Amino acid sequence: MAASVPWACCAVLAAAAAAVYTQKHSPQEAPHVQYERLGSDVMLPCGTASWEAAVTWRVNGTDLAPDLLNGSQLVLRSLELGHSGLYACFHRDSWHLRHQVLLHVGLPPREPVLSCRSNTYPKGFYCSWHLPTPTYIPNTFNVTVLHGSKIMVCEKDPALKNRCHIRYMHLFSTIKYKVSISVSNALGHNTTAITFDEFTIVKPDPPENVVARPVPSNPRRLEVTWQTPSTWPDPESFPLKFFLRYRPLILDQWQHVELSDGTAHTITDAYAGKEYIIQVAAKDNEIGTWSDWSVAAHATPWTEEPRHLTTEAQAPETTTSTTSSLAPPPTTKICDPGELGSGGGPSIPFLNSVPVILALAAAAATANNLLICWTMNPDTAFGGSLGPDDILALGGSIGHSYREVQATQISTASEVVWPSDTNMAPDFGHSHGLRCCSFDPNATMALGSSTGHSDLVLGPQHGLRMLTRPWASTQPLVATGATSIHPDPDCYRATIPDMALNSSLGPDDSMVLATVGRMKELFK
Amino acid sequence: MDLRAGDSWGMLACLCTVLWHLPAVPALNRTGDPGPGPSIQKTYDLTRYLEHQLRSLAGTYLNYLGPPFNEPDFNPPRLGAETLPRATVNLEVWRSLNDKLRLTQNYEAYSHLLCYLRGLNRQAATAELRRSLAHFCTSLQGLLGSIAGVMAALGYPLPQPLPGTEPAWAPGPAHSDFLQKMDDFWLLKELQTWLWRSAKDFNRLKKKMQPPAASVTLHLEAHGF
Repeated sequence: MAASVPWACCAVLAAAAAAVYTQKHSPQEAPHVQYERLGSDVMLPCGTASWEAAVTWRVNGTDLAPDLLNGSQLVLRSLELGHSGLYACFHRDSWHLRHQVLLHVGLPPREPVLSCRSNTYPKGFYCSWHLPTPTYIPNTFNVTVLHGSKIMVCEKDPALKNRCHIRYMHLFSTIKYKVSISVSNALGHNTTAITFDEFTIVKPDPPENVVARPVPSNPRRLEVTWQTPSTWPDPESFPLKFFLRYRPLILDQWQHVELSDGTAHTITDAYAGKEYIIQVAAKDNEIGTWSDWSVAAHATPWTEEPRHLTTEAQAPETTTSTTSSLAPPPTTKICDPGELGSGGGPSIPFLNSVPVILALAAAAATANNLLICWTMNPDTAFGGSLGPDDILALGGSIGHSYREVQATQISTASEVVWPSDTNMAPDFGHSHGLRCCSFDPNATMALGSSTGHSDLVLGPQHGLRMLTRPWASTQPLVATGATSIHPDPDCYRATIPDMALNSSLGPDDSMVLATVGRMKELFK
Repeated sequence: MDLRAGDSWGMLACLCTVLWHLPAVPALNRTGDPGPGPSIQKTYDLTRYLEHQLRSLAGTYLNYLGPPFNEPDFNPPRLGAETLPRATVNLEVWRSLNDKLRLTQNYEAYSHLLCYLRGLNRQAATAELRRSLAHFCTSLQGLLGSIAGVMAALGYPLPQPLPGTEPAWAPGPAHSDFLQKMDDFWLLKELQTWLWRSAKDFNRLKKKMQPPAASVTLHLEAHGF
């Protein structure tokens, strides 16, 4: 008898301890997920607790002031994005967890923007969509394609979440296609639809591999060659015609040549010794619209004596001072996104007037597309979203007042480095955390933005918004309007207008930021 | 379903006109390889010209028909107009058409379309519309002749209409005004689509017949142009 008492005591104590332990540490239920609208008020009840119950609320582990309480209910007014989080209420004295709410603050979706295009005629076409403004909560999209009364399958793109593909079964149809999309989230839904004829949406991709070469012993000629876009499946049966434009860098006016076939052309009226910029566009011979302009090719006609480029004198200066910090090959030189947080935190004002210092380093690197950009938030104010699948295009004007954008396409997305987006503070929001570094001393810089376009190369015809901001020689450029660019300490050359832009940017220069490629809503 | 109330004789007459006024046998000056290339090129060019012409004609005519026919989003279901030759074709079938079939389909389509167009012309309200339609009909007849020329050069027989397979033109109950306009709408739509398809058809033919050094001129003796 005496021996069993302590044993029984232990058992009871153990059981009690276990009970207390489980009560304290295992939640009564899984957190309740709740979606609320931005700007609204919400009252969170503490589970099944009565109104008079004495409770304490915490959000993400931080205590909340009791003045937010209405009895045992938590009152949140004028919800902001920062209010999202895990709210938990505890019995005040025992700290027993009574209820958890995972709150997501967001918006119902606005009308989606839908567009369709056939760059693979006659194989099929694709449709892509995005939301004009972010909702901050998960959205689901549903696309239906009707050809007359027949429903067609739209296959999801393996890589892009906001695109699907339709295969043509019949050609030369008189019946229109109707594509509808509905988007819904926990707070609402919206739809839109477009109708079109088969031949109106045909738009090839731009010609590829545009190469311009001087012709030996011919000071006024340039030989241009290109290839039909690789996405065009059948150039034999569905031939393309081409449109070539060229001008010397120093002039504004383009010369145009339309070519009904062939993938080569010789320019015979080039100004001797001047560097030219050349672009080509493609179109189906009979239907549809012109493609966007190709990546520009540069060439200078053949001249007798070798030329001394002014940049050669400058390059060594910048190279020696930068190679040390940029020695690793550009693709591995990734400015740590963590640093961005420190450099451009929430103290950045909501819109505009952020100092911008463009970083271009003269690395001894290969010619093109050495650009690395980050955004802290895909919802930069480009009128859409930028995300991992977007392509940034930069073109530029050097030493002159603003000209038409010449976009240099960043060909591989891997060179555009995007941080993982899961930890982004949502209220970084319209602050435009876009940072760019280029390792190409010959990169021309132009920045502008386009809204809702999924084309590869931008031009003014896409509604480019321009920041024509003169560059004060002693101050960094201040970007206003819809975008701004944050400096990154590792990548920029501070305050020196002599960026390796292959000449200087000075007071008369202007900057335009262009975003191209696939605008996309990040799906959480 | 009849497309035109009445005027069946007119239709037959139209057919006769088309058939008899074709180039008989084109006179070939064979100096070497008979290259139908230039002729195909000419046919291709004609389709482009006609397409251009049709654009303004259709715009005017649809405006004459009034809304909803002249609205850009007008997307009616395809009811009736069953005897209209349809350009739409399965992609693989189209690809694998042999030359003879490809040309024949084009020829037959335009023969029918020309007939229907002439019917349209008869009923067109304004003189200006009648003029434009007449001009277009003439050009379309030129295209027919051109296609016939190519077929003859390649040794293909011209399709003959079989007796009894013609659309029944029995004067049935009068169409409602709206249904009539729908038929007109589809006629113009099919014409547009056929012209666009023909351009692709002749492109394909052109590529297949890249002539070596062609030195043949085809004289198309087409009457009634």
